[in-house]
Amino acid sequence: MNFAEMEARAFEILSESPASPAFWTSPNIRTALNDGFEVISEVSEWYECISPIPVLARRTYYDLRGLKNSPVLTPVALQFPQGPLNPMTRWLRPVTMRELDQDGLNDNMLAYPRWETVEGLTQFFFMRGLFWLGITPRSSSDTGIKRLSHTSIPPRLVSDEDTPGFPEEFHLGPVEYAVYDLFIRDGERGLAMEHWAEYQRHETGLTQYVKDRQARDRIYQMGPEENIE
Amino acid sequence: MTLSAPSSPWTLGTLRDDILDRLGDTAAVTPEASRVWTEAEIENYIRDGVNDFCMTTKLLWDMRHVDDLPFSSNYDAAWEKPYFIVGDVIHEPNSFDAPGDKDFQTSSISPSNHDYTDERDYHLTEDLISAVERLPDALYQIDRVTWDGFKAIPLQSRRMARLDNYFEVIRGRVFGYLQDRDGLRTIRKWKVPAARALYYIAIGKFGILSGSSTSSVAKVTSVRMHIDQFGVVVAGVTDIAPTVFGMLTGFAPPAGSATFSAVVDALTAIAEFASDLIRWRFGFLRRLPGYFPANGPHGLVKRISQDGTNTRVEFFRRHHPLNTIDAAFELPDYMIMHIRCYALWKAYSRQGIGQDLKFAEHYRARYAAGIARTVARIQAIYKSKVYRMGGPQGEPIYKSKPYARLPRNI
Repeated sequence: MNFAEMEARAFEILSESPASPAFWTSPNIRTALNDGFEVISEVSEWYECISPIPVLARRTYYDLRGLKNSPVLTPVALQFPQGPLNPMTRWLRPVTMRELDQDGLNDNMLAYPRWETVEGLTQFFFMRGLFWLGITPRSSSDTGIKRLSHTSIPPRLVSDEDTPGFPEEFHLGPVEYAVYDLFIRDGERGLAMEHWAEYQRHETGLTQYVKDRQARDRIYQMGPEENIE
Repeated sequence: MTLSAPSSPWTLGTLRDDILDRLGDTAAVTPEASRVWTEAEIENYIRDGVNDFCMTTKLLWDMRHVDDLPFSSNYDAAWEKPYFIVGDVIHEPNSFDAPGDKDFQTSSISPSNHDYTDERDYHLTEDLISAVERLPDALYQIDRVTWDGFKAIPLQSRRMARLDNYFEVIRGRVFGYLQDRDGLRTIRKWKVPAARALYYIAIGKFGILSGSSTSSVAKVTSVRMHIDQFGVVVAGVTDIAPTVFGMLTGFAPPAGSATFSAVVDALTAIAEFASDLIRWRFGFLRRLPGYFPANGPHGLVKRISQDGTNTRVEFFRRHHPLNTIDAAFELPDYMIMHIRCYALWKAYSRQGIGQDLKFAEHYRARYAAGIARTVARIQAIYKSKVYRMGGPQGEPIYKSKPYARLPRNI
């Protein structure tokens, strides 16, 4: 369903005439549809993208607010490319502050309590709060771009042809949310809760779809991964 | 970093109107005298919701230095603060001069023997660094403390009292800190810093930082940050490499500061920044390599402390105050939904006309779910960590020895 079709479905469920609406106008419905689109996207985290982060000299912490594909919902992975086919290109490894401060992470660069002052090829990353991404060792110059893989909120639906990026089976989710939202504003609480329940069914379905999109063979093993580096 | 201008439609005022609209209680619908929920009431719910959300999730992280400097104070009681004139620097309250006096006073947290930074920088005959410092009012929880790049250990005063009868006065490197005896929102450094940290001196009272100069005075070598200077290009330097800071060489000291400095006004004249390039030739100081950026992606540098042998506190904090209806949120737009749910929960819970406990519970549940998702996201990157059972902690993850395995065909 595209945006226009979703709007038509909402009009239909609300028993409202698109040509001469009595209670809810097209802008009301479109705003509510976009609210629903935002909510279902936030919960299911279906929208995945990559944002470039320019490397800055001696910078440990990078603010994730204001990136190209803001907002960052969940940072997934961070890569530091070093050029085509350069073997030093690597995905950075997540590390906790406790590990860094314990002086016991490894026997090379980070076996050093003043890890924040170390400069070199970045290997590890960590989060401070929800918005600050930390890396270590930090870079000594303004050279390079890091690639942050993360989930985000998609752009709002604007034109009639705009279509949500998730499967059509779940397109009724934003519609049900919009109807719920509009009934609330109208004081129709019983009807609103019915449509909320229906919206939640779509929300749960989409969330599960995002998680289960890939069937995985399970390989059990004691101990660590193979030495891959 | 790729920046985009803030374009959020949400302010305290717009969110309040949106919530009143959902409650069906706007001025357009209900006469003012018949309103169930007032605008002020909804604004309070929003403020409560923002504070509750930030405190529960601890999503706002920040850092600040509690500088290892002599304790400056220039007023005695809280009621004096409104009488400072615009441009004055408000230091700490003062009510005693010597450590022994502390038992008999209530307002100050450390002894002080000077009023202004000028006295501190040029006229003190002995450096007595303050051990107890006040923490920001917005602080929720200390996450980590460092001194000279080392992590300072959180300590308990009852344990310290057993170890050393004089732990409050022994001077030396700062190895740890205490928070459990000198009052809420205070930090006691252990040991008491023996020497003052290097620091920047702000010159001028108004504006933002735009450049700096080195300065050598009899007592301490410091770096001066100039306020209210313009990053203009002067003759003869237009062909230099692009630079980070809106400040170039050969710029005269600002009016009135000739007594402080007549040296080169360039950050690259400072050893710490000597190898850095200045990006732009005009504008304001936006960042300093090696320093924590101020005020998020859209702010400007207002104050800079040096790491060096200095105490730095990393902490989770409160959202900035929402004092006016035009106040914007620090939270991304998608999180405004959680705050709206909180406000609607409280509005429907209030006893009297308009109370609807079923709806209140609905919004409470939505708010709680939002908190759970946010907390999960903060920890999300650690899901990709590879843990192991029984492995030695000190061994590198990527250098671990391969474990014995049966051949593949068995």
